[in-house]
Amino acid sequence: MINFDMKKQLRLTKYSMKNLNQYIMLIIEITAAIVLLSIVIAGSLISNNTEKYFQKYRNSYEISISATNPDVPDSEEEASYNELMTQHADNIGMSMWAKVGKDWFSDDNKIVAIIDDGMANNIKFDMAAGENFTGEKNNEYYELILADKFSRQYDVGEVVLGSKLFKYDNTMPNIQYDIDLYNASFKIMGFIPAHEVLVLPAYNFTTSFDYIVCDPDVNNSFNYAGLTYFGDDIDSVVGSIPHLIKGVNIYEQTFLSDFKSSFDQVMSFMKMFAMFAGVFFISTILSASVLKYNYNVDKSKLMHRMGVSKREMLINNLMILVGVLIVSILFSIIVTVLIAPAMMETFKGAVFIIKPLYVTLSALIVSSIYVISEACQAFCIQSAIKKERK
Amino acid sequence: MSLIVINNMVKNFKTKEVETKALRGVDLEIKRAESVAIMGVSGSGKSTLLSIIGLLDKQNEGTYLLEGKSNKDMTDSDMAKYRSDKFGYIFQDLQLLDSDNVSRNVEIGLYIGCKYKHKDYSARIDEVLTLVGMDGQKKKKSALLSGGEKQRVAIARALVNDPDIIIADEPTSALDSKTASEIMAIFKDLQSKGKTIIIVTHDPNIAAHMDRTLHIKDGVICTV
Repeated sequence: MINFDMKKQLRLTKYSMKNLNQYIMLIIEITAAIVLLSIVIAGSLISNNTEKYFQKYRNSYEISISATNPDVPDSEEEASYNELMTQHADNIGMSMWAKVGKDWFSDDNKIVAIIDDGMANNIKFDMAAGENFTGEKNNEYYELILADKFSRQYDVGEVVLGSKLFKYDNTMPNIQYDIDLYNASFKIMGFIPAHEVLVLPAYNFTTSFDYIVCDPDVNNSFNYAGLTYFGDDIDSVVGSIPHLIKGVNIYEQTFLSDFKSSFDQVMSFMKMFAMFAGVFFISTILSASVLKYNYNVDKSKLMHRMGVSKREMLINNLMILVGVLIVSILFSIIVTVLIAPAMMETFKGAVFIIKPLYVTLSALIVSSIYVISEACQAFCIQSAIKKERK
Repeated sequence: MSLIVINNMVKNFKTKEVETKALRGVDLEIKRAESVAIMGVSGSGKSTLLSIIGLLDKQNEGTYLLEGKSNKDMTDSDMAKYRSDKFGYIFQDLQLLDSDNVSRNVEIGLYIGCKYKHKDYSARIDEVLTLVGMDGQKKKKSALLSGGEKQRVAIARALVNDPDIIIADEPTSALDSKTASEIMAIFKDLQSKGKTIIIVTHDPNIAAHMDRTLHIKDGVICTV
C-alpha cells in the first residue's frame, strides 16, 4: 500500500518554491532571454525583411504616379503596369520613377517636362510608347532630355525606356540636350532637371510644356528650380500649368535610401550585439544554474536526511517542475501580450523587426530550456540522494 | 521499555576492492530522556552507529529496535517519517544553507515535520532561536555567522520540530571551551525536558556532561 501525505507534499513544495529571489531571477532571466532571442531571430531574418519592407515602401510611392500605358487596353493596363514594376523592381532603386501617361500621347505635339529637384541619384523614366533613347514608334517622335545627370557631371546614370535599361555617362555631349530643350516645338518628352528649369521662363513656361511631372512638394521643387530667380510668382506659375502631375517624392526616397543604409548598419550592430549578449546570457545562465544546482542539491540532501523520503523528494521535484513550466508559460504569454506590443510601439518605424511570432517563439524556446534544465536538476538531485552514503 | 535497543549490530561498507567492517557486533540500550556520549577515535565506527540509530542507514546484521519496532521492517518512507517526527539532527558539518538566512535555515524542520501549523511557524522559530541565544538574528545570512552561532542555529533547527531524540555528531568540535559549555548547557536543559540526547564526541569534557559515555573501538563498544 502506498502512503501519500498530500499535506506534507504541499508543505515541501511550498518550502522549495518559497525563495522569492528564485522567482525574481526566473522572471528576469526569462525576460532577458525572450528579448535577446527575439533580436537574434529578427536579426537573422532582417535582410529579407528589410528588402521587402523597402520594396513595399517604394512601391507605395511609385503607385502614386498616374500610370497608364498607351499601347494596351485599360483592362490590361494594371497587369502590364505591375509586370513592369516587378520587372524593374531591382533596377529602380531609390530613384525618381514615372511612367508615361496614356493621354500624354493622345495628341500631337505634347511636351512633357519632368522636374527633378536634383536629389535623385538616377532618373528612370519608363517611356512605354518609345523604345529607343531617341526613337520612333507609331510615327511619333520623342526625344529625351537628360540634362540633370550631365549638367551635374554625374559619372553614370540610367534611363529605362520600356523594358530596356540604357546606361549613359557623362561622355555624352551636354549640348545635344540643350538643343533639344530649345527645340521645344517638337514632340518632346523631356526630363528637365531643376537646374535646367532655370532657362524655362524664357520659353513661356506655361505653354512650352503640356505636362509636367514634378516633386510632390511643388513649391519647393519649383523654387529650387530657380523660378524665383526670375522674379516669377511660384503660385501663379504652378497654377498656370495645365497638367501638373506630382511624381515621386525624391527627397523622401533619397532619405529612405540613406535611412536604409543607416538602418542596415544599426541592424548589423544589433545582430552582433545580440549574438554577444546571447553568448553572455547563456554563460550567465549556466553559471547561475550551477550555483542553483549546488544549492538545491545541498538543500535536497538535507531535506532527505531530516525526513523526506526519496519518493516524496521525487514528487516534490516534479511539482516544482510543473510550477516552473506554468510560470514560464504564463510569463511567456504576458510577454507576448504586453511586452511585444510595447516593443513594436517603440520600434514603430520598423515594425517588421520584432514580430509577436518571434517573441512567442522565443518564449517557447526559453520555457523549454528552463523546463529541461529543471528536469535535469531534478534527475541530478534524485541521483545525488540515491548515491549518498548514509 | 528502552527507547533504543541494539543487539549484535554489524555494518560493513563494500567497495569494489575492499570491505570495511565499521561495526562488528554492537549491543546497546538507551532509555528515554537519557543523555549518552559515544566516544572513539576516527574510524572507530561511532558516526556509523549514530547514522543507524538516527535511521539514516541500516545495519547489515543484528537488530535495532526503536520504540520496539525493528528498523528492518521499515520502508524508506517509514524511516523518513520517523526521522521527521522523532529525531532532531545536528550534523558534524552542520549542513546549514549558507545563502539562506537563519530563519529559513531553521524553518526547514517545520515544513518537513507536521507538529506545527503554518501560522505558528514564526512563533516557533522565535522560541527555539531564543532557546539557543540567537534571537534577534533571524534575518542574518548563515554565511555571515561565527562558528558558535552556526552551531546554535544547527541546534535550533534540530529542535524546531520538537523531536524526542536529538542526535549530534561532534556538536562542539569547532567551538571554544566557553561556547562548548554553553551548548552543552542547552543539551542538559533539553534533557531535563524529557529529550533523549545522543552525541558523538572526541572530547572527554563534553562527554562528562552526559549521563553515560560509550567508548567504541574498531566497531565494538568496549567500555560503558
